[in-house]
Amino acid sequence: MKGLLTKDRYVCFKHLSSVLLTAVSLFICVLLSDYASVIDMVGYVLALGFFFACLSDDDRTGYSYLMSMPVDAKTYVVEKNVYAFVLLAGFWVCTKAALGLGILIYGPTPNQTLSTVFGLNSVAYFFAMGVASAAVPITLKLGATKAFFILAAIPWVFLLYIIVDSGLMYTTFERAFDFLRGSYVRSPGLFFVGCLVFNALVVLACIRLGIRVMKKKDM
Amino acid sequence: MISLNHFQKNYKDFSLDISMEIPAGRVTGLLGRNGAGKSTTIKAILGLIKSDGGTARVFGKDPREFVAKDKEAIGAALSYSGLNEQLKVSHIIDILRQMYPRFDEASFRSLCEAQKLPLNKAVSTFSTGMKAKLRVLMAITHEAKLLVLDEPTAGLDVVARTEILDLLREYLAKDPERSVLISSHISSDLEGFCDDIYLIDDGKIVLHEDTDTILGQYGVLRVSAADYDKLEKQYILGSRKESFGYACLTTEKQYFLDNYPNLVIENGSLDSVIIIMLGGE
Repeated sequence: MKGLLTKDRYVCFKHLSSVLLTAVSLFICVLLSDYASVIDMVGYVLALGFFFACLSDDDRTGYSYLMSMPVDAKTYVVEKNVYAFVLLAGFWVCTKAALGLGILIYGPTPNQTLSTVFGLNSVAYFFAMGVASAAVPITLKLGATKAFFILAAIPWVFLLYIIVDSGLMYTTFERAFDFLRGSYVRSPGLFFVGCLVFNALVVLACIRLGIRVMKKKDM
Repeated sequence: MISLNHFQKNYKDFSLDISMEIPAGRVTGLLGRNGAGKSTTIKAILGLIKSDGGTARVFGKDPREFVAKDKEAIGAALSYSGLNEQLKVSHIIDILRQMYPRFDEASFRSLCEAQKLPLNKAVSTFSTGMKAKLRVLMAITHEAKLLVLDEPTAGLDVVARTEILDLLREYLAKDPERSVLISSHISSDLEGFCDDIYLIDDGKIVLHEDTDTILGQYGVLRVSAADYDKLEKQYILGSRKESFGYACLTTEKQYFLDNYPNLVIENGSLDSVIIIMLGGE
């Protein structure tokens, strides 16, 4: 697995334009007055972007050579999840550094306490991890191009939903957000553990599915 | 070491049904036209495709059931798949070091130097020959017991092809138990390198023979149409109509020398085997 992680790390840093894009995006976010709400989202989206770049690189160069190396289906799928976790953690640190920079420039925004940021941030982190985990079996099954269109279509489906029924969308999100915030305020520890357990279940299900798809795949 | 027993794979417009045995210490060539099924056979051996019938065994196990540890004993060089070409050789060294516990980094570095492969340039900037050499070096420097090479010399000039075959000869000289399966559509590469040859056409093995037997005992009879009718056909493997009459491939060159003193009989070669077996009737 170490060899695969090294490969993914090198492939990731070969996307130099993406590294520059990350730095510029975070810098622009800091310049926004409402930086706190935007910055986390941008960090996770960029982390997922890097992760998809690695997945699509494996798909483009072909799995044949990779799977002729000492890599089996389980190693491959688990490594991709470990890599997604590390990548998201790395961007989490970057976004927090940018957030700190924002606080230094503007001071904290109203209603922004450290605990709220961290609490709701865990939800975003786990959501991004779930998306990354799901992307592995989808890419293995459909190929990178189709998988990219499917994953990229998700925000557009949401947008369509908003356009068709903005009131319902607003109510749904508001309720969900209130529920999450309420749960977090009542018991932050339990909230975090709940998120962690739910996410672990999602990731484990995606790993099992990914291994199954990989074992059946013709390369 | 490798055993395929009626391994079948069906695609929409192509079917493979192949049986082959490769014992330890042998160098086996897989020869055939483009699209004959060489790469599919190699995929079957590496466990990259699932069987639609028959069995595949490598080191006594189904290669589809291989765990990472089992694959350490195999070195593969595939013409159609590899690592990202934006990586440098120095990056590849890091990857191989962590992938293979028996990776011989010193040997890899010295071979790169000998083959003039720069460590700090992206592989994408390499020539076709340099990329092919790198693929072979990646396969031979972790003490694999079995090498599986798919068209390692395709698209290369004669000098680069010879250099790659020399690398393989050095690898084989280190341990007599090492085996190589090499596919190619360039018969001259296999003629001086392989112990035996499998000739594949349209997904099926049409000939399996020791290279020495082909070169020593096989012969090509050049006969007119009238003489062709008089030939004893039981010793004729295949024939091909040509401008002067027929070219016939035989495994019993001596028989025809003794019984047909006026016939023109040439020594067998892989080229003549391919031309008559694949292009004849």
